[in-house]
Amino acid sequence: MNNLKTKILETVHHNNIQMTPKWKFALYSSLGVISIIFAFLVVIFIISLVLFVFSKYGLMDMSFFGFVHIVNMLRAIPILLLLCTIVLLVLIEVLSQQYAFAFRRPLAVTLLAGTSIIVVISFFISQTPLHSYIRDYMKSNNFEMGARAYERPNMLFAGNGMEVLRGEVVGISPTSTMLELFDGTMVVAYPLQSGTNTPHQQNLNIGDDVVLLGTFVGSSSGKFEVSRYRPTRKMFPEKLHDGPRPHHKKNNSDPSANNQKTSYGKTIMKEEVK
Amino acid sequence: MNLSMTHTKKDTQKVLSDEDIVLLVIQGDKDIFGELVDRYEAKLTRYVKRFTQQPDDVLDLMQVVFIKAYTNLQSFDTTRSFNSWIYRIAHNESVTHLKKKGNQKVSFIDFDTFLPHPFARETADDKALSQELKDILETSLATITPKYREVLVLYYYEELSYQEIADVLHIPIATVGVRIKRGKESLQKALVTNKYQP
Repeated sequence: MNNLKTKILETVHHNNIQMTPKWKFALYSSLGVISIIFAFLVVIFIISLVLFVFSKYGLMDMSFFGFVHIVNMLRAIPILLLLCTIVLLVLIEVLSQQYAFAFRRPLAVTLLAGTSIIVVISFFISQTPLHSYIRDYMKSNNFEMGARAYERPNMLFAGNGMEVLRGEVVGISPTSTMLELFDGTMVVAYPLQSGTNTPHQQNLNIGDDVVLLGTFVGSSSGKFEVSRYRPTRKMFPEKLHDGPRPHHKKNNSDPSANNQKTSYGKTIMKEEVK
Repeated sequence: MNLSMTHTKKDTQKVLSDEDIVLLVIQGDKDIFGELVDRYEAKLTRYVKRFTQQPDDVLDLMQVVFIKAYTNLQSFDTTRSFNSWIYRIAHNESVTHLKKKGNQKVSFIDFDTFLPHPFARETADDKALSQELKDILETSLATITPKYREVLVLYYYEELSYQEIADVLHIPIATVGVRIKRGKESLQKALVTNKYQP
């Protein structure tokens, strides 16, 4: 019997070295898989949340206004969420390197494949009413921190200080248009100067979904000077508001709702002037 | 009678595959683990000695490797190759040892595994050169970084296939080819620097 073999067998017998039971390996393996799945779901939630908020507040539609605004859109991505996503993606990559499907392929390939899958799933989730339900739940149960994630991102664009708004037309007057944003804020949109392409020169109807580029006027956050305007165009059409809103229900119940389009707008305008 | 029984048992052990022996050890036959030590001691000692370039520590390292193999035996999937599995343990222990010693750089981030590489196997000519290369390698191994040294040792001395090396190191197969190529290049550079005359 050779020296090493004797030493190993003596150590095994006399030091009573035990084999680690199979269930422990199964447990570690399960924990690894659960961690990967959990990290995967968290990343999907974060990205779908960002896509949802960007979509509902018009940031996704900034590409309509030119390439420079795509850059501005990217600048609006919350840094903290971006960092969390990167950390979690690295965690997923590190954990999955224990498994042959991951380590047999170059890191860039698994990272790209994983990211693509996450982005596609996140996009589809952002198009479902899931986040609207979560937001409503958080608001109704006073989860301030959570509800804040669904608020309009504070963003100022470099240079001209313009902002983007997405809203639903709820009132039309000869000089301005009343919009309701996703978070329920009412905004009165005025043309910046004569000749500006604004919602008002178009044949707008109440309920139309529009995206505006412009600036808020003075300290009043309810007045918006419109520089440019576009109706939203979606590859996958979605409503700004999921489900009926109380004040719309009231209008819909009225048989003469069509006649009220203008007067509804005018009423709001009067209140705004006061 | 007793002697012949022992003889028969030894003969039986010889025809059993590594994976069969693992099953017997798991079922409670601790002594048969010695057969695995017999089969792998020489190979792993050679590999660890060349990879770590620290001959004094090899015996201690080998004990750790075999004890770790024994304690983790139940994690081994008997449908896979035991050879790659035990080399993987030896690799992990060697890397840990090199990191502890701190005198050789073992990088955690490896850009070779990041991007896809074209798959390039050794040609027949390269294989023919390998005996000469082995002799050169033996004298120059210490001059190469552990990352490249290890694949050269596994490929030229241990005669593992690309697939087996990929399984041991947990890297893509194409990366094995890249590391062998780069290892040979850095070996050439080292030989030029040291004015090697064949």
